[in-house]
Amino acid sequence: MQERHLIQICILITIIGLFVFIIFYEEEFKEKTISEMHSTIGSKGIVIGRVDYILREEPLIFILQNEEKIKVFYSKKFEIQIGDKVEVYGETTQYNNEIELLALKVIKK
Amino acid sequence: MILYLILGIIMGTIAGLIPGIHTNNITQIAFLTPLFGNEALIFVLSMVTTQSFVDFIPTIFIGAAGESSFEGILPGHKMFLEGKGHEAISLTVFGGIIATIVSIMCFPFFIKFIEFFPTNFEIIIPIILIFSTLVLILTEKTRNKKILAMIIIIISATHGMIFTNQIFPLISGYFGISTLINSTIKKPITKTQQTNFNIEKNKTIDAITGIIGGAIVAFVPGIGNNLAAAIIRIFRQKIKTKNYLVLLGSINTSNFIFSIPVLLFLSKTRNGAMVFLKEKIILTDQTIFLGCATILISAGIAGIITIYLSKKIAKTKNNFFMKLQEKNLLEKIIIIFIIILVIFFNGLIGFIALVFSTALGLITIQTKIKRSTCLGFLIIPVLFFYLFQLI
Repeated sequence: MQERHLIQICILITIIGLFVFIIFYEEEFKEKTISEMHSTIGSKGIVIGRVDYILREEPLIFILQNEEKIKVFYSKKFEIQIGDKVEVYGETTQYNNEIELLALKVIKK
Repeated sequence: MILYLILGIIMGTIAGLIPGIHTNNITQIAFLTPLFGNEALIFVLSMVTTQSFVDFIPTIFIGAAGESSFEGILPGHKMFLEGKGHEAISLTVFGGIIATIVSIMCFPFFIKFIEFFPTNFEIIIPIILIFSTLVLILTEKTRNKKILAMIIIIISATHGMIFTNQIFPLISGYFGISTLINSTIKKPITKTQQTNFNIEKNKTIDAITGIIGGAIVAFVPGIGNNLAAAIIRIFRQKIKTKNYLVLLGSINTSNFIFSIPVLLFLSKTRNGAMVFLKEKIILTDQTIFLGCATILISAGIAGIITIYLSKKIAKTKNNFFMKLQEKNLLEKIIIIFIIILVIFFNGLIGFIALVFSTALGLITIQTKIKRSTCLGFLIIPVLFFYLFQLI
């Protein structure tokens, strides 16, 4: 095998990789409303809203509000106050027969 | 997303080209950024894949290795002295590319394998390590050499235990600077670097051996890819330089690829980049396919980058570096460069470790004892770790 053959293999696997990439790539997190998130358990999305009430500080559990309300659980230490506008990347889960948003990342806006 | 892929490839190339910079350092910085989900996945995977290829350029051309490629210094430098530096690099690329293709194809089997394989390594690993150490000693030809090999293993083990977290200075001393000092003593080398090569198809077997090694390293704690390569070399005494470079390229890439399912399905990792991913991604089928695609793309591009850079450097060596080499200056400049890097990244302790390890490296050269005996700095501390666990 000469250099050009090795380069050809490299180009070929790059093309195969790009092909797989295009097929499987879809935006992981899209901005959604709370009602959209409520519709399916396990749905992923970004929810923007205000902190309505803080139930616990560590782990952080708070109520997020935009047009509706949802309980948010965030396992990491994060400082927020009531009234803060936040962007929550998360996934809906069911806990004690209640749908809540399991936050994977929270950003203060 | 393509932007994160390009950024990862650029960072991986930089990390690979500068000895002493590990992708773990860049990942630590990435922790401070808002990178998350697929962005994080694509950035980290492309960076680490690229680095696993480019890493061999400084290892072979200047004898300064990163943590994952130092086993390549001696065979690589040997080929470089023969004017075959570009071929040496291309062999590691060949190993890496075969490893990428086969490892990704083996993903589902590997996942099944790690689910059922016993994870009780406390007994198996010490036996392998003791056996490797014995092979290192007993394969020396005379009784005096056997005793000397044992002393070198003990000294290097002491280095490993005293200078903890000083892998870069230690490997630079044992395998890099000592080789370069020895080169400066000898007549200057004026061999022109060749840019043509031919890789025989039978080298694929070495790439497959490397993949098996890489798979084992990915889920057996305490054994790194260099140690695994060294153990394979100890048991395959007559392995040719070219075959060994293919094996190294393969083990380096496959170890990283197999560490992904180990992280995702066993939640175990020793790699800083994987720790980052564990924190930042959400595991879905899409993540796995996207991860595989990212590895394929970046391996292909990294292979081309590595071959291109290697050819450029080989040609430059024939001009500028060659003149330096004729005046016996090249090795001296590289030695100063490595010392600066060690002081910059590891401070005074690193410099002391470099002095001690260089001295031991020179002793092995002068006494013609196998340089692998210096691997005692890795083997013995790991052995003690397992023995203490048994007690």
